[in-house]
Amino acid sequence: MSARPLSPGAKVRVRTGDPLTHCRTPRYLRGRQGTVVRALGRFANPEELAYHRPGLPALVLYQVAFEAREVWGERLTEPSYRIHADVFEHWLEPLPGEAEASS
Amino acid sequence: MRSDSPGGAAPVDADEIRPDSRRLEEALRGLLLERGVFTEVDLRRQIEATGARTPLLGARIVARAWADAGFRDALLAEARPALEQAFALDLEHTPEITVLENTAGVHHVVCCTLCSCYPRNILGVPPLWYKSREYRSRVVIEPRASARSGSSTPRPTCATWSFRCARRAPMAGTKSASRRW
Repeated sequence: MSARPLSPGAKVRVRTGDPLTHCRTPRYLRGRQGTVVRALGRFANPEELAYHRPGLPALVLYQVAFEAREVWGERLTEPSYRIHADVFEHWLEPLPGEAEASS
Repeated sequence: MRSDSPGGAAPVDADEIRPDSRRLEEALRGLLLERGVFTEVDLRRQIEATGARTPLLGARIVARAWADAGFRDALLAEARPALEQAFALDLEHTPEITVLENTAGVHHVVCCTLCSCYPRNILGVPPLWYKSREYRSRVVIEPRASARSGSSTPRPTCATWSFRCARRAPMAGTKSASRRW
């Protein structure tokens, strides 16, 4: 998998899905819309490493910012705040028409 | 592994160390020693080194950043070399560290996502509550209320909160990297 790189500011949506296996994408962020802050580098996929597999090719890990209001909706009882989460590329869908790196 | 989690993905409750975890640790430690992966001396040294680390060092780092603008800037720009230089630490095998600065308007809270990212080389073993399901579930949805009820209360009045979840994982230490599947 080698998706086009996402630039800072790109709007993304976290994929939905509920794997039973090891997964570091917080469940409360799945299906939510956020904004890429920056790319953090490439890292072996922990979803594979957890089962003694190589986890290669390495995947790009992005720091993504979410608004608490967008994440929690009416469940939010406090003023909104920002949630920064590190999310691997295979969990992110770029939203069309937004900033993306040209490649 | 619990029977209700076929992939072993059940959230970890760190509030207690289960007896089977202890037995597993003992068995694994015995095997690693028996096969010479490390020695009793190595083990003791590592336990002592980890045990010697406490949040006190974190407090010293923050205090230095308050008092020394040059160190503060270096810490925010690239934490590892700044820490190695100023505090004579060996962080070669520590994953990359990002330092975030609280201001009058922004307060950061770090929430564990069980990716083994806690900087033990600097702060020691994390408190059990840090990995507990209750803390991880609550602090992301009501950070201000969580802070007010916690023992180390940050300023609950700041306008903006920011979280960092799940720092990146290190690539090192994957002995199975050559295995094909």
